[in-house]
Amino acid sequence: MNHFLELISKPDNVPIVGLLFLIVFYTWLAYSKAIKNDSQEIPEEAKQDDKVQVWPNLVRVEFLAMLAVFIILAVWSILIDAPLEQSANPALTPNPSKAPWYFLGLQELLVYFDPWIAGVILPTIIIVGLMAIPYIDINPKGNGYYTFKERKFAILTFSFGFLILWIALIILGTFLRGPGWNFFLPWEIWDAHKVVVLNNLDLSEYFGIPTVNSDNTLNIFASIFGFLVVAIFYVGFGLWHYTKIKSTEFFKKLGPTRYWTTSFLFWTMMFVVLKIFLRLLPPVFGGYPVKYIWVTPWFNI
Amino acid sequence: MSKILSIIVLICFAKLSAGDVTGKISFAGVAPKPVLIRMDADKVCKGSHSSQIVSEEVVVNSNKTLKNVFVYVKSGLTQKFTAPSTSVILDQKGCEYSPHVFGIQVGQELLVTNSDATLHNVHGLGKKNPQFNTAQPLKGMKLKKKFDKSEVMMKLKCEVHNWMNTYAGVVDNPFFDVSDANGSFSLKNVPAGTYTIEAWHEKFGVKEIKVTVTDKGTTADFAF
Amino acid sequence: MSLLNYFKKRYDTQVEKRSYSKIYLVLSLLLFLSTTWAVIDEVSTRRPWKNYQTEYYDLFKEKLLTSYEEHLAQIDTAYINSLQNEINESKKELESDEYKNLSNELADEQQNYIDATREWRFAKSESDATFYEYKHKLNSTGVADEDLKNKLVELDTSIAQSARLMIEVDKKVADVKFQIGKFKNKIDSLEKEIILLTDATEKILIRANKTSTAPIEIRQVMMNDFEKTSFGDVKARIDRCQTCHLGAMEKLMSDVPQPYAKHSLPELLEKHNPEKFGCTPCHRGQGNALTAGFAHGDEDHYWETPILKGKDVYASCNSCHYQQVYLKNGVEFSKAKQTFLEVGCVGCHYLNGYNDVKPIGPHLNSLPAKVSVDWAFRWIKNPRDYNTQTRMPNFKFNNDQSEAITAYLFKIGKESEFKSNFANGTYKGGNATEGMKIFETVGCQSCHVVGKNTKVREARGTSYDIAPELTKAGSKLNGDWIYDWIKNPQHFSPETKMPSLRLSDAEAKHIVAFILSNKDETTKEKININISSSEKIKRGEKLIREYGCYGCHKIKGFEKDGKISVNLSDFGRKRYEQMDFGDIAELPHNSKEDFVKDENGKIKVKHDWNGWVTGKLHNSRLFQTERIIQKMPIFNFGEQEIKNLKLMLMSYRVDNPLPKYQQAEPERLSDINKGQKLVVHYACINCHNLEDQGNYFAASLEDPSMGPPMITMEGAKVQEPWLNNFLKSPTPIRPWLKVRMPSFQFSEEELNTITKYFLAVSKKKLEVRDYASFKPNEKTLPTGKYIFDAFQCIKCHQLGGDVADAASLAPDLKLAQKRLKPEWIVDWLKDPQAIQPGTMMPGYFPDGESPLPDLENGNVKLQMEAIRDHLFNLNKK
Repeated sequence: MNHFLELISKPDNVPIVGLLFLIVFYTWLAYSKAIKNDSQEIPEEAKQDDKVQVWPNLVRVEFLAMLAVFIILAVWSILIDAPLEQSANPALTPNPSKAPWYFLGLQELLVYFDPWIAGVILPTIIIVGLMAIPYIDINPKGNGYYTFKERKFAILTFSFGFLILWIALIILGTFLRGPGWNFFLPWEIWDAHKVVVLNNLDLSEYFGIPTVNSDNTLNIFASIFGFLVVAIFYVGFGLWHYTKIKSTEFFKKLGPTRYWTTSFLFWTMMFVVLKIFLRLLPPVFGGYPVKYIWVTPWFNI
Repeated sequence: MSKILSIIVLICFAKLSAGDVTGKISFAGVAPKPVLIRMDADKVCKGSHSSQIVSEEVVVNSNKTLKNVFVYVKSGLTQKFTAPSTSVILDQKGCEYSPHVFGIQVGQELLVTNSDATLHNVHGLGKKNPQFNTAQPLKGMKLKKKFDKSEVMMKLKCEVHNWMNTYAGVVDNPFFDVSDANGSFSLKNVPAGTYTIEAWHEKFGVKEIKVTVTDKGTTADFAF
Repeated sequence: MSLLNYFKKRYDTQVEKRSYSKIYLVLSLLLFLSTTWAVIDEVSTRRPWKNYQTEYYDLFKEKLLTSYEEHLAQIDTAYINSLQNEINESKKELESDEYKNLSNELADEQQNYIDATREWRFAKSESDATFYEYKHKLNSTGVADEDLKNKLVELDTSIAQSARLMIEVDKKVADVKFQIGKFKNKIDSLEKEIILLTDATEKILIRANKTSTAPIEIRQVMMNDFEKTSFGDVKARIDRCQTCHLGAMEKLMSDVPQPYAKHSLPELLEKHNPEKFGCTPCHRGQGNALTAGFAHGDEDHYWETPILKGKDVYASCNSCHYQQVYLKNGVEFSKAKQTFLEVGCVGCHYLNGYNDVKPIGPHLNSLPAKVSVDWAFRWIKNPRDYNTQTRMPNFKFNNDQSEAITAYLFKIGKESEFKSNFANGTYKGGNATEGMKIFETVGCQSCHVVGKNTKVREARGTSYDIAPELTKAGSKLNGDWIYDWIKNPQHFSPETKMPSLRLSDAEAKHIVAFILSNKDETTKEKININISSSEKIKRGEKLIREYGCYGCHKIKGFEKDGKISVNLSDFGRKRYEQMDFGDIAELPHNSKEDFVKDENGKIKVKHDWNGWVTGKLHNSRLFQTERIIQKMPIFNFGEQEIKNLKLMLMSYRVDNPLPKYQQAEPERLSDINKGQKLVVHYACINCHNLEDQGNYFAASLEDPSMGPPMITMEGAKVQEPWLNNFLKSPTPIRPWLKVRMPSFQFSEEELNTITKYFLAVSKKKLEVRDYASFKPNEKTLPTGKYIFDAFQCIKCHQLGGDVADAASLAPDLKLAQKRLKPEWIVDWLKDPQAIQPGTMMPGYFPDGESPLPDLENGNVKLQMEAIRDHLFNLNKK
């Protein structure tokens, strides 16, 4: 327990502990307001028609908030020094080597994907996807008031992507990953010499197709098998949903370009989750974790 | 002004209450056979003596006392003493050191003279004081030395004549003496107080006693 | 609760009607407080050095004042007072009318001089301007202006006139000054004398007064281009240690607590000036930090180089002095490095700069000639069973493994072509008692221990011997081999460091008899050893390769194998994560000990670098578990050796300062480096005092002066060709010594290395010199002879065959011409004690004065040269 207290009180981890509370609070705030609005005919925000002047009513509150933030930052910087370490040395990396806290989610993905994919492809898709939202979101509702009922897909997808795939992974990376990037429960002491099982199989091997031939070359059938699995995932789920939605009024408004873009982004997100599950779940049932779904000479997924 | 006054007071006080420590060095054992010294190696040495020379290492006097025992106040003194301007003379005569044991105060001058017409060198084997080794090839040469640290005893020897050696007791107070042919010694004008007095002999080592000095003086006898 | 009510009430109030004054008040108050706090924190809390500096200056002032008092007490006040009285007396004369008139006159004349100068200056200036105008007109119009020309002439006259006046007045001034001088010169010289006497003392007082205005500021030393970053860029280092440790260089600051005290080894600072080298290159720590915890690095969890505590600081010597074994001011370092080399760490471990170190063990190619199968087997199994002080570690081989290795070694041994130079049985006929006498006099026991004569071992103070103990050798070796070996060790092993002592046949036979008389008395259980099966032999070869026996022993079949163990070049930086502690329990981090063994034999170590290394050195296989097998053999290091080796390991890091900050003489150091390694290898210091090391052999003598001489100054002392010949075949210089300088049979390369090493120690370079062409000064030869006789040199020194008169304990002076360097004799005569403390050679010129002041005008140097020339002329007759 001492170890856990030490961990959460480390200067580096102060923002993350703060984040934990802030995220919960604001998520609760948004959802509770949305639910309240959804149960009424007119949203709460629309009821308040008595407007007040920005100056002084808003500006002075902002000014006071500024004072408060200033005080907090001043006291914080007096009490806790910037957690600097010695100058970097490529021959002597610290263990665990951790990214800045806001990138820990990406670092966690490195466990499941190759660096090229986890570090370049996936972040690019995330950024492009976020940039695309204004163009693919044609739902005008929820503007100026909280609602859930009217934007179920958007809110759920965002909540999942942000809270689970981003925030949760940061928390995991900060508090539960120790030396060697091994998983430690909060009360476990970070033992630098911990040894863990590192056995895993490619998905094709589950089905009796070895990834490498006896002469250590790549088995082309395994590669084809992997491609098929990935293709079936994207095409199968994509087409399945398409058949369900193609005749609706909404689809017509949306148009095929927006639809397929959204579809690709959504299923890619789901694919990341699938890969994480394939790695984490089998050991629970006594199986081997899945290493790669699709192995090619150039990249592995 | 106050300083001068205190000095005067001190001097008066010291004058008033100081006494001599006197005593004898008795020897209980059997006097060892005298060790003969052969000076054949150097004609000058041999020529300067008509009779057989014996080592001065152990000299038992006729009254069963020991000669050449160095006695000094080892501890108990709180004052500091300035060295006297007179020098202690160590003579090399007839290829022997005279005296064989002597005392000298820190900072006091030691004058080593060569009264022989042969080469002598004084090699001071100081452990706390730096070693020195100086030759005196000519008769009548003089060497002056001062010692900075107290050292009991410091051996001095001649490398040319391997039988020649002497011992110097370098102490930081003027209260020391070497027992004479009667085996007696006296430490003059020791200020009143309690002290540890030590007696050192070349062969028989050291003995310590505690004495309290009053203005009537006191006695301190050692037995080896 | 009331706060909650307050906010509830606010919430119910209309926005426009809410009052913000209370919140504003509270927030501004808090902001004010936090800002004040920030300022205090910045100015005071985070700058503890300010207090240190104030306190330091107070202490320093106190010290200065005490020193001032002491100086004052030493000044002869009476004398100064008399001087002052004299001044006052003289000053009275200044009251006289004559003096007053003179000073008035001086003032007048000086004023006149000023006036005259002004006139001259003005006229000169006017003349210059007129000249310009005249020339200008002449050049532009071509016509000379007569008016201007006349004016110029006029001005020139007036210049000359005023110049004359000036000289006149100047003379008068000088005259008056001279007359005044009669009154004042005495006073001036007296005042100067007073100042001379009191100046040093007054300066102390001035310094003391200055401390109150000393600036409170950060002191730093910038070391530009000091080191390279981990990425290879050149980087400066900045040390601010002296911001708190202000008194480090101040002689007066003794007996004061840290951080004010002076450095404990000022003589080290003379060579490593902190103004240039800073502090962290030796002490480590975080140079630019300004609070104790961070600066020392022990409270900064991330700082890789925390301060080195206690004797550990000597580990830093290796960052620059990696080329040296012996350092004058680093006894700890020298001891550590010697241990490191002697125990043979680099036989298995790779380490930069140690590739030239020779293997420490004997070759194993001809074992059958030397030992029995039974002995070899027992030895391999547990060397310490036979010899507790051996350097050979225990590999914990089981019977099977020992048997296999024995099998391989005896297989190659049988193929060996070694044959004794002598017929079987030649060794017979010696007398053991005689042998023991010879053994103890010629110097065998300077390396080998027999029985209870362990004085050299005790003087060395190590838990291992550098040559095998021979107490049980009679059961190990056979007479034929011993005879061949001691007659000529190189015959059996060309690379051995065992020298030949030039024993006669009879002497050799006695010694063989003596060694054979030392039998192993312990009873051994019988074992059957089968070494013939080829399977066993193969297994043995594999084991030797696996355990790296060839790191210390030359073994046939392993000539090309490399070092088997880890590289230690950067071991000092190894981290906790890189070390495995096996099943060894952890000591708390704040415990003082690194390694604890309780009464049940249970061992605990600190789980950090120190703990690991201490544990490993106590028992190489301490951290072994069922799964992690360790092959490093078990040594038997004593506490001191563990400390030594730890210090060495701590010192091996790859982040050394750039060459600019290392020693300036790479060539000299490289010579010293090679030489010192050779010195360790051949154990020269077991007998000789060399660079203030060694001379252990003297411990076994009743009279230490009967031991081998000190050879530190050999490079300055002897002629190189002589040294070369002497080392090849030593001839007695000091016939009264019974101990013999052995014949080591050095290779030409080694001889060269030794010569260069001696020269380098004496800060000389190898140059070709023709010593034979040295010509004594014919003129002073009679003087030299006269002094030589007057000083009675032959009282102690020999002269050719003549037996010396008295002591006969000094070298033959007829050898001097061929042996000594001419300049050396003069240096030596100047002050022998300074060169070799404790020498029996007395100084003839105390305080640079000659006892014969009539010769050569008492010029000591000429007299010494005359003696030298006489010595160099001795062989001519």
